[in-house]
Formats: sequence, structure tokens, C-alpha cells
Amino acid sequence: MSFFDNLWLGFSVASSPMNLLFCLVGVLTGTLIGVLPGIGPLAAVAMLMPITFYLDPVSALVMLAGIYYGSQYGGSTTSILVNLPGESSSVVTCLDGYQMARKGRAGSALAAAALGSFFAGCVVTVLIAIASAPLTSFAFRFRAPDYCALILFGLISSIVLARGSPLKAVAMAFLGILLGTVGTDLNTGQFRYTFGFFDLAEGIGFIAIGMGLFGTCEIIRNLQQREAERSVMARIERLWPTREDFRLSWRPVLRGTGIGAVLGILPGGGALLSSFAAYALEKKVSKTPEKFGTGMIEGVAAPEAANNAGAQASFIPMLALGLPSNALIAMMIGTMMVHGITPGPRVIMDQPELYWGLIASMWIGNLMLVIINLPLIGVWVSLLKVPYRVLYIGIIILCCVGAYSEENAVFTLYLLAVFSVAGFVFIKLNCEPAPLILGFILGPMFEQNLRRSLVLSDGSWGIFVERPISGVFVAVSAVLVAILLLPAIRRKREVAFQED
Amino acid sequence: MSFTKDGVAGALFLLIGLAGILIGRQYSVGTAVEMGAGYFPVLISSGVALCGAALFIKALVSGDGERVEWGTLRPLVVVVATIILFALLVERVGLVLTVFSLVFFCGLATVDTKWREVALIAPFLTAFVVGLFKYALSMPVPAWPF
Repeated sequence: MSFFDNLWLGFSVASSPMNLLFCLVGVLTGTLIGVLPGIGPLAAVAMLMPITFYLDPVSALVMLAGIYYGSQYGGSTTSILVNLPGESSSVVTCLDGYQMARKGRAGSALAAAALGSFFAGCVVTVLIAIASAPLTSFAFRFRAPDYCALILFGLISSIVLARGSPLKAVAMAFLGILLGTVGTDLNTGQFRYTFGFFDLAEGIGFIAIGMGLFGTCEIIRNLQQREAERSVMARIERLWPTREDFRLSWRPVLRGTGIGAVLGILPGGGALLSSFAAYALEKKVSKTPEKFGTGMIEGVAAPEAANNAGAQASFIPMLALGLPSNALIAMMIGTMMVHGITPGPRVIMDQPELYWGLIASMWIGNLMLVIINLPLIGVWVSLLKVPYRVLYIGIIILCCVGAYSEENAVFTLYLLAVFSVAGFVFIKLNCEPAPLILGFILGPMFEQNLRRSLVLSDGSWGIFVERPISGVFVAVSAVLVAILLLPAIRRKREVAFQED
Repeated sequence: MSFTKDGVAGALFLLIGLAGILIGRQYSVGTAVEMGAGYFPVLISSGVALCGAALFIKALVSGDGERVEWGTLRPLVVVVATIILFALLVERVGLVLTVFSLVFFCGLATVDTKWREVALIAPFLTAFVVGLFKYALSMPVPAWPF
């Protein structure tokens, strides 16, 4: 089938009424989540994942993907209007966006963010469509040792790019892999770490870990602080940007899209890193870098384009290789596995309608965001008036029902309680949970491929450096580790993350 | 007396890693060619333990670093209790009563709670949750105790 046949298939799947509906539900939920501070897209996906078990897999993924990029979009709205980043990736948008709003140019800032995101979304959707097919056929040449090395590479780069202490990130990744071994060993049928609970025979449910580490414990942390004062909302005067705005922002949007597309593909990259990098680059190339932070449209357009591009580009390794590049994609892969789909290069062959449908839905979703959300900005902002003290009750209750619905068993709820406490402890000890969830998803794949590799090689660990594909991944991983250990670069890395 | 974040994290990882090794060794470990069920878990647990030990020793040697501050534990206790109460109640008294009563219980998590607001949202939230999960998604759970 040609490229256009594939896209046609994708669009015909994505525009079925059911999928359109769930795409809409996804982007609206995502925008809502993005607007509301205190719940991130991870919490939202964790909360809504149980609902997707009742849907067919295409609709489920379309909806979850919609939440992901919808939240990037919604986060920028509140950053600009009330200086509250609803989302960590829109922190930089606050810098210039809110200043623009204070000068009465909120409309221009919002439109630059929206149109920039839309443009980036379109470009990356095409990029995914073009790039993932060759990547997939390349992935078919992968054997067990190559997968091992690839997973290692993914884990290590997510550690390099994680915030905070790398040693803690390594420990969290190992812990995630260890949690992934709980349950029945596939090769011997032995129960591992089940502590006599028969409910653990199938392993720890993904919902309990995801919801506990990213949902409930965040709420607990937020509740520890007293209610903060809301900042004054800026008025929106005109929505459509001026010709001058367009002239100033098209280049930053292009650069932002490029940065996002590259960083998004890297494991550990994604929206957050992309938006920071894009802002830094704009400041570097600008003739008036000192004016950044006072309401430059470039400082809104570039990071917004970048975070949307990054969010979407991180689907490429998931679709082509089955490798999650960040925690949210890991949750999506978890959802696919619950639906009995093994993510990886086989999906494009076995389920082209799922593969191309998801890609096409991203473009449709981006279009929906622009068409529906620009006029709805007032509605979203008024939602900010819902106080957190009311909101959190609803979230906790939904988490409870959602966790129960995973297997219709109360056992998931007890696990959720355990992981809520664990997540709280991790937050207090500055241990980022993202490497843990990546390790949890990748751990079982890693073990299977490790076993197969060592059977192939008769127990020699040399097989990982002898094969060309795995050799390259091992070498790159080694370079990354070396970089992490070099003191000079380590200091630079600390500086780079200080802006958070 | 308070401890550094790195020290506590290190000790925690070390303990988990050691427990993982001890339990994992009870499964057949085997060799690299013929891995038993215990081989991989022991390998990974050792990684956890080593990282933990390194963190712990680093924290001990440097002695300074951010201290752990747990903050008020009320939200933690109430949220976790809500989850456990949900587990205990839902199959006994049904979804409607569970959700309705836990909305109020969950309100205890913060002193900012205004009970009039909670009373206002309780029926709506209950109707929404029951409507969505029990009727729209037909989750097999009783709605009422009878």
C-alpha cells in the first residue's frame, strides 16, 4: 500500500463518528486538565485509563493521545491569561505570555500559541507518517540482543535527561524493573514476589502504579499547601494576531517545531525539554535578547510550537519500536497491552487501522483544538474559579472508582493505597517517578530479550557488542554514562535544569 | 533529629534491594544460559541495593544536604483512608452509598474544606459516577446494598 492509501485508511478510521467523538472527548478533557493547575496529563491519563478498557483499542488510544496534546494546549491558555502554568511544559510560556497579556495583547499571545501549536502538530503528524514506516521496517531486523541494547539505551537516556540526582533516577529505574518482575515468571511458571497474594499472580496492575505515583500522591502534596491567591486575570481584547505578529512569529514557530520534533523522539525528551530548549534558542538568536520576559511574541510562539511538536514526536519511538520515550507514553503502552496489543513494529502490519487511525486522529485532534478552543477560552478560564478544595474530592473519588473498575476487584484499591503512600515518600525524597514507570513497562520486555540473547550466545555477554545494531546502542549508552559522570558536564546539566 | 533526603532515599533503596536479593535467591537462580526465575530479579535487586548504598554513603560522607520535611500528614492519611474505605464498602453497600459518604469523608483531607460546598457537590458527583460507570460503561458493581 502506498503512503496515501495508508493516510486515507487512517483518516477513514479516525473520522468514524465513534472515534471523532472520543477524539473530541480526549482533547476537551486534555484542555481541561491543562487549564487546571494541580492535575497533570499523567494523572488524567491514569484516571481515565480504566474507562478506555470498555472502548475498542483505536478509540481508547485516540482519546488518550487527545488528552496528551490537549493538555499541552490548555496549559498555555492559563499560563498566558493568569500566569499559572497548568502544565510543567508551559512554564516558559508564562514568561512572555503573561507579560503580553498584561499589555493587553492576550489575544495575540493566545492565537500565536494556538496557531503555532497547530502548525507544529501538522508538521509532526506528517513526519510521523513518513518516518515511522521506514523505522518500522528497520525495526524488523532487530533480534533479541538488539532489543535489549535499545531498552538499555532508552532507560539510560531517560535518566540523563531526568531532573535531579542521576543516581536516584538509576535506582528508580531499577526499582521499576524489579516491580515489573512481580507475578508469574513466563519461562518457569514460578510465582515471584507475590507474598502469597493470588491477585499478584498476573503482576502488579498498571493502573495502581500509574495512579498512585502520578495521581493521588500529587493531590496529597497539593493539599499540604494552603489555598494560594489567584492572580488577576488579564482581559482579552482582540483574538486574531496582527500582521506584525505573524511576521515576527513564523520563524520562531519553525525553529520550535524543529527542536520539538528532534527532542521529542529522544527517549526522555518530550514536551517539557522541548519548550525550554526552544525558548533558550530564541533568546540566543534574537537581536534583542534582553527584551525576553517583557512580552515578546517569539517567546510564546516558539516554546508552544516546540512543546506540541515534542509531545507528538514522542509517539514515533512508541509506534515504531514499542519503546516509551516518557512516562505518559509508557502509560499509553500500558493501555495497549491491556487491550492485548504488543506495541512495536508488528502493529503497523497486523493492525494498520489502529496505527494509521491514531496518526490521522492526531491531525484531526489538533484541528479541533484550534477550531473549538479559541472561541471557548472564556469558558476554560472560568473553570479556574472552581476551587481546588472542591476539585480534589472529585478526582479522588474518580480514582477510586477507576481503580476498582480495572479488574472489578478491590485488590487494585489496596495496591493504589500502597502506591499513593510510596509516591508521597518519593516526592518528599526528591525521587522522580518517571524512570520507575519506564522501568516497570520495559522490565518484562528486557528480561525476555535478555534470556533469549543469552541462550543464543550460549551465555556469553559479548553478544551485545558483537552484533552491529546492539553494539551501536551499547556504545551510545556508554557515551551517555560517561557524559553523566564527567564533572564539567554534570555542572552544566544542573544549570540547564535550574530554570524550572 | 532529621535526616537528609539522599540518606533516607539511599537507606530505603538499600533495604528494598537487599530484601529483593534475599527473596529472589529462594527462586531457582540458574546460569546465564539457563536462567531460572530468580536470576533476573537478583540481578536487578543488586542494582537497587548498590544505588542505595552509594546514595547512603555519599550522604553520610558529605553530611549536608536537603533535610526531609514531611509536612502535615493529614491529607495523606485521609486520602489513603478514603481509598481503603472505598475498597471495604463498595461491594457491601453498593456504589451509590459508598461514593456519597466518601465525598464527605474525603473532605476531611484539608482544613480549607467548606462543608456547604461538599454537601452541594455530593449528589451531583454521586449521580455522575454512578451514571458513567454503572450505567454508561456497565461496570458489574451493585448500585445499592439490596
